[in-house]
Amino acid sequence: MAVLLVGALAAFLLAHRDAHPTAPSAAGATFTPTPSPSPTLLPQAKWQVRAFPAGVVGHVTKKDLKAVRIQGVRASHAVENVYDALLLDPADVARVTRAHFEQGAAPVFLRARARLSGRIHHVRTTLRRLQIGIDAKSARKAIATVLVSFKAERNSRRVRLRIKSTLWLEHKHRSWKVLAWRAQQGPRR
Amino acid sequence: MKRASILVSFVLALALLAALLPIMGRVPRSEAAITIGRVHAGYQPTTGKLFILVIGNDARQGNPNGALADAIHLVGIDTRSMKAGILNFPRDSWVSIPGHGTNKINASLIDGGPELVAKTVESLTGIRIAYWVMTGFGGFYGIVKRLGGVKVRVPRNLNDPSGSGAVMSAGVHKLAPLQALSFVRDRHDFPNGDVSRTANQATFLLALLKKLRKEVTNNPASLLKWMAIARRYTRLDISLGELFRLGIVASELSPKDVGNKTLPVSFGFEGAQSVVFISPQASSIYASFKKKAHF
Repeated sequence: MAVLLVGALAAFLLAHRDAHPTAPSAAGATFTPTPSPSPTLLPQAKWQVRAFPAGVVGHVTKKDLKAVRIQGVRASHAVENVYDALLLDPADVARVTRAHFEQGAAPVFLRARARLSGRIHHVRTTLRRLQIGIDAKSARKAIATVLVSFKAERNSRRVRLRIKSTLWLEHKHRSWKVLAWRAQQGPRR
Repeated sequence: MKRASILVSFVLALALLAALLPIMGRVPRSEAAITIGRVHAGYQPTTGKLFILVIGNDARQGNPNGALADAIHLVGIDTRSMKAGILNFPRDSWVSIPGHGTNKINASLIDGGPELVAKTVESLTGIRIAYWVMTGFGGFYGIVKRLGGVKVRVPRNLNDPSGSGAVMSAGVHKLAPLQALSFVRDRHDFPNGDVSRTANQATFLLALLKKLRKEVTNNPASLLKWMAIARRYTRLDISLGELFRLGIVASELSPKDVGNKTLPVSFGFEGAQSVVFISPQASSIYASFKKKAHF
């Protein structure tokens, strides 16, 4: 599988805001909000989501598990939104990225042009699988693996592609933010 | 670029691998198997170049005051290209220690703790260091035990039963905790003594990194497990968010993109002490490393 997309991993350090909440964005890029057009009306595969406690060492309380369940749903929504925009609603990518990526990571992600080529259209997903491990003790850190297979048309030819990716997320300011992202795209086997 | 894994990665990797994530102040520094801290409060790298000092001390348990820094490695990571380098400092390097005159570099740990070791390296290289990671024999043993052993290429036959305890043949071995400790401690089997040893330590770090990466590649969420383990054994003077980010970077580094270089030195004496003098050629290594964070 060829690596076509390299995530915004490098942004992680630059984007770190814990120590300097008022620090300016390291990337400095600005984006104009894009109105959201209607996403494709083609039938899409349902998301298969599994959220589970990760980093379990020793005893995990019922309270911990409840927090994992709740945060698992929220973190999953963030990831689903990002992928729905990337694949089905490219015009909305900038807005979704700013909403779900950490402040410093979003510009890096957008600059990386990590989205489908404009020549690809009529995307129809055949598989959307998300597995997300939530840190059992804090429920504030998560690592998600996403597998999406889809059919599409490129230059009037049918193509079948697959994207496999990993996202690292952190719960900050009452929402889940993507800190870093890595993906591989290639023909579906 | 040479293949391998961590001691800086060791501390990054050790600390990272070994399990990073912790509750600040939970374990006193003197008792923690691994300690991680910032060199400068509030310093945030802004160029994408991250430097971490990995220190291995000679304490048998914990990180008590009075231990010597017998392993000193400066790990540089370019977080944009995800290339890295490990620059190894022989422990007997005769250097100027800020505020404490001139001495062997390993004495800086006694004089002012890991912060002074970092400042000594900064003053020597001109490189600003973000974090330091330190472990002693106990922490090192515990990490390798948790990992279930580490596979390393031993460069030559080792036979030092009365010193480090290293007795093994050349070639690739999966080292158990005590064997691993003897491998990174052995200097009697090498004509260059500690200079060769420090390179072996970096090789071991790379092996650790390789192991971490393999596990995280198969199961990305396992990084959280390492962090949970670290939470138990590590004294963190940094936030969990920082630890998480360091863990992400460490787990994404490919060992083949990590270089391993030991400072060029010459052997000599300072009074009655056997020391090594860092070669003037080191300045160009510092400059290049500072600029690129890899070799």
